[in-house]
Amino acid sequence: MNSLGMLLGGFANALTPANLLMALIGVLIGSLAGMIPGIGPTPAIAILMPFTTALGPVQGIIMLAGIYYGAVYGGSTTAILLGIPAELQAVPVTLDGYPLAKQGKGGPALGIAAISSFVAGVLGVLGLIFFAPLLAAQALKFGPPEYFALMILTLTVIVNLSGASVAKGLVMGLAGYLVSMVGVGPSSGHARFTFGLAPLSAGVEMVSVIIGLFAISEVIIGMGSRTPVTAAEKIGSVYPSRADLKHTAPTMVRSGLIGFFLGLLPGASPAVSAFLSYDVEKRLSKNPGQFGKGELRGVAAPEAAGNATASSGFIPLFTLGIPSSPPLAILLAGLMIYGLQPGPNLFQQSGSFVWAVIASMFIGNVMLVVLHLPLVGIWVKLTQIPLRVLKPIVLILCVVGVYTVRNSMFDVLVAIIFGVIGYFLRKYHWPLVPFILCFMLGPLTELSFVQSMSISNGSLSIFFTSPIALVILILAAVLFAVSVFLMRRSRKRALSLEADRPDLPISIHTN
Amino acid sequence: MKAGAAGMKQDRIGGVVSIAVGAGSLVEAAILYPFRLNSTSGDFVMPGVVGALLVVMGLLLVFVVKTPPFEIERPDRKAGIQMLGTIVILFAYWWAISELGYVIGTVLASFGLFKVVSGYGWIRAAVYAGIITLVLYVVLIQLLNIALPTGIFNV
Amino acid sequence: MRSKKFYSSLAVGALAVLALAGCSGVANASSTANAAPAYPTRPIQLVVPFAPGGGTDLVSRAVAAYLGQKWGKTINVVNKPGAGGATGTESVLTASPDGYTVLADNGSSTEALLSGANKPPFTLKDLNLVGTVVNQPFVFLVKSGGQFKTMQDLDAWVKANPGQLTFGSTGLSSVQTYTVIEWLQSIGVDYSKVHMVPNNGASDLLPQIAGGHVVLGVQDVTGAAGLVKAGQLTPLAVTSTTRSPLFPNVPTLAQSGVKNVVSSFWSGIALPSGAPASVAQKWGSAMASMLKDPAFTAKLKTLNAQGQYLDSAQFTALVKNNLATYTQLVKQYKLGQ
Repeated sequence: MNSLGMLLGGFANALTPANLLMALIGVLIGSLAGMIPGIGPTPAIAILMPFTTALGPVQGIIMLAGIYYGAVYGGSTTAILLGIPAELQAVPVTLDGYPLAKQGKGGPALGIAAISSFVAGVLGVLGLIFFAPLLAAQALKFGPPEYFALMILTLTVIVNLSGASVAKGLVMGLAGYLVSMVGVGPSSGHARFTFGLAPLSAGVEMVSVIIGLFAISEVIIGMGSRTPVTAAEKIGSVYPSRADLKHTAPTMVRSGLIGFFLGLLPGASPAVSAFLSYDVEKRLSKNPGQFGKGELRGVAAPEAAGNATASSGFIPLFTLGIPSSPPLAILLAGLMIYGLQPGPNLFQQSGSFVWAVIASMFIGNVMLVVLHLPLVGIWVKLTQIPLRVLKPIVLILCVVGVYTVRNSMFDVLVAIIFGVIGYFLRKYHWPLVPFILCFMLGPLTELSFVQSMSISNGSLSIFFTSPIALVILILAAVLFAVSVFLMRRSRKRALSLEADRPDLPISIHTN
Repeated sequence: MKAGAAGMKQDRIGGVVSIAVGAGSLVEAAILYPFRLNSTSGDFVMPGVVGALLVVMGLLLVFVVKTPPFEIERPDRKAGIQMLGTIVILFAYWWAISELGYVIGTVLASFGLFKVVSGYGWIRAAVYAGIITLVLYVVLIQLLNIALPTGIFNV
Repeated sequence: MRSKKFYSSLAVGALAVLALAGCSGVANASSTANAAPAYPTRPIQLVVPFAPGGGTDLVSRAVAAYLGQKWGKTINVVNKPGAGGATGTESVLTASPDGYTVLADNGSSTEALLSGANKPPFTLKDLNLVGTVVNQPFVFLVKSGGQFKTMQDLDAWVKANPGQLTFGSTGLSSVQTYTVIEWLQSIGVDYSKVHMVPNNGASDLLPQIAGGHVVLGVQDVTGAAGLVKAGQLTPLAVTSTTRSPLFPNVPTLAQSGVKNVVSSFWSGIALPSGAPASVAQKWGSAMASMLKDPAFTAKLKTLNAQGQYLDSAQFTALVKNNLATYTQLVKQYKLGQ
């Protein structure tokens, strides 16, 4: 097989000491940066890119890819051990990872997270090698109506992520949409919900909201809680037991595949696939009640899916030059700075470069596992600084992390305000995850709806004449019905939930 | 310090807030209607749909749905002061970064936080504040060249 | 006792601050004795009012690297995206006009923004347009392997089926939309019959065209190059008066029979109008020689950007002229907000 030969050549190229060192440095810096709340993959790559341009193209891109992987994984360490998602993708990981850490099982959680990332990362790279051009063409079949259907499908997740009250979850989801609409509207360019405040016309930055709701409010609420939030002292062995591995292996593969295929679609970020796969696992599970309380599959699913999406995102990037997420957009910039024009020709014109980078992704994934399994103690030490000291540092880092995303002091203010709001929401048991999910999906949902309506000249039939969109919508309806059915059966609060059944996802696409 | 079972009443208040916010969204939709692309599409659709659903959900929460009860932990006096102090310091930090610059702001804010949150004495808090500011200065400004606000003293 | 501790801690804090201030001050020592004050004596912030990774961002990073090396002072690229470029532009205008906060702007953050807004957040008078780095045409793009091989095919089809034309654009008041309107005027098609499909920018638009979801896209050559070279998109015509060196085989609109439609995508450097004239001159002359340097033009070529230096007078005239035309279009077709 030709690809294989090229890949071997790529390995020969990537395994030079200098290139290995670059991958190592990248993974290391990325892991460290990713652990800081607010500094997720996007700011990490954006900040560090200027430094890599001093290197040659192969080394520079290897390092950037390492930073990307490292930051994605580093985020999970903080998410599991401190319950603070450094960025959106890490939100579902906190749902089960943090309870596990509190039970003293942080070690296995970290271990499973690292292994899931590795399995999914390798899966993604294999897909990249063998199917890249083929799959890229399929991605083009997704137009606005198909994206809109996909967004509706993702919405059904809310029912499962609402916690005790679906009604409150739906209100929070709607509120998330509302906040996502702040700023300039997609079609008219007219400002919405800005109350005459100029900085609001730039919209509410997602990182500000996440840091406010999850990091700042977490620190604040920890002060008033009688059962103080503790960074887990004992984490246990990071090497998961054979039983744990067996338990999570199917999840890794399923979620890896979900993540892989979603990664082919521009606009479906690792966060979307992390949320979706978590939900799928919860639906498939024999005891869904365990999710949210410390289920290892709940750690494996978002971790595998997110990483597979991160890897398969390179397929549209390399073959079509379409970045599917913000960090990849910056990587694309990195490629272009080195004079490499992504597209099918990239494999022909700069073959040795591409294959070296692909090989380095393998190596980067191996390094991540190496860094995070045997050396996990060092990372854990970092999060085990006594909370007394850690809390002020986390708050100070939150502020600078939020600032660097858009270099905006206004975003810092927004984060602090959301920190206060988040405190009260937690206090009165309004679930935060539906809010953040809808906040994330809002812009794409609206844009793809408006685009579809422009294409169809205002006719809603466009969602039913596209076979792909129709299939996805039917799937969404089935999933919605199934989860409602399961919830009725498994919970005795059926009466209290009855009233809010005919609600959100269905009514949105008939409007 | 007392923990009481609560839920329905608080959630009904939440329902009222939801109705109010939803109504606001509907007003915004009406304002945006003239800027539509066509009758089913434009910037008004989403505010309209979301606003209407918020009103509906709010009404359900107020009149129909019985939400599960939950416990509310009230912070004791000490924790309350800590929380309030933290929030005040964060807002002050935001102001100080813009006006006095990142470095001075960070010294002051981290000092305050080490004092209030960690409960350290003056000297220990000052030393820690100095260290964290110095580390951040070296990493962010010297190594990474991040342009942070400099404020009136230009540092 | 307490207050003593407090004062000593204050002293520690103050010392730390002084030490830090000293660090940043050391670099300022060297200067040359000229009539104009030495510039730059400290790092410069180049504000890009868009997210990282876009065309203007990449070009600005190339400029920052080149001039930073030439002047021996770091030029930090600072992205301040939001509100179509208004957020970043305003942040430059409110900063001290000392020449150390510089704006990288383009057509969408000036002409398009100002023509579309009822209450513009700033005016052209607030900006000193120093010079352009890039000035390149837009390309009319359709799906490859479809029914349109030439601009004439498209013209004929649109005249026959105006209601079926969908075109992608970043919004009603954008240079892309204006260009489409001017084209439709030129071939005599009613704009109100066609459909604009709003999008987020090139990475949203181009796959929609390549996948056949949207018929027509008008994109600057930088954004278009990737998928055109990949064979997924067919360029029909460029919007300049002469052919683009990046697409030498693609005719101009005029050569395809569409008269009087010219538009361009430019990226340039601007200062707040209060900035010292000597700083503007320094940037202008440095940019002029930069665009003559083969090393820099080679860099632009790798970014698929078409470099062109217009000096302050030419640049200002171009923007004023465009703004007048577009404001007229906005009025005529009620595109404003």
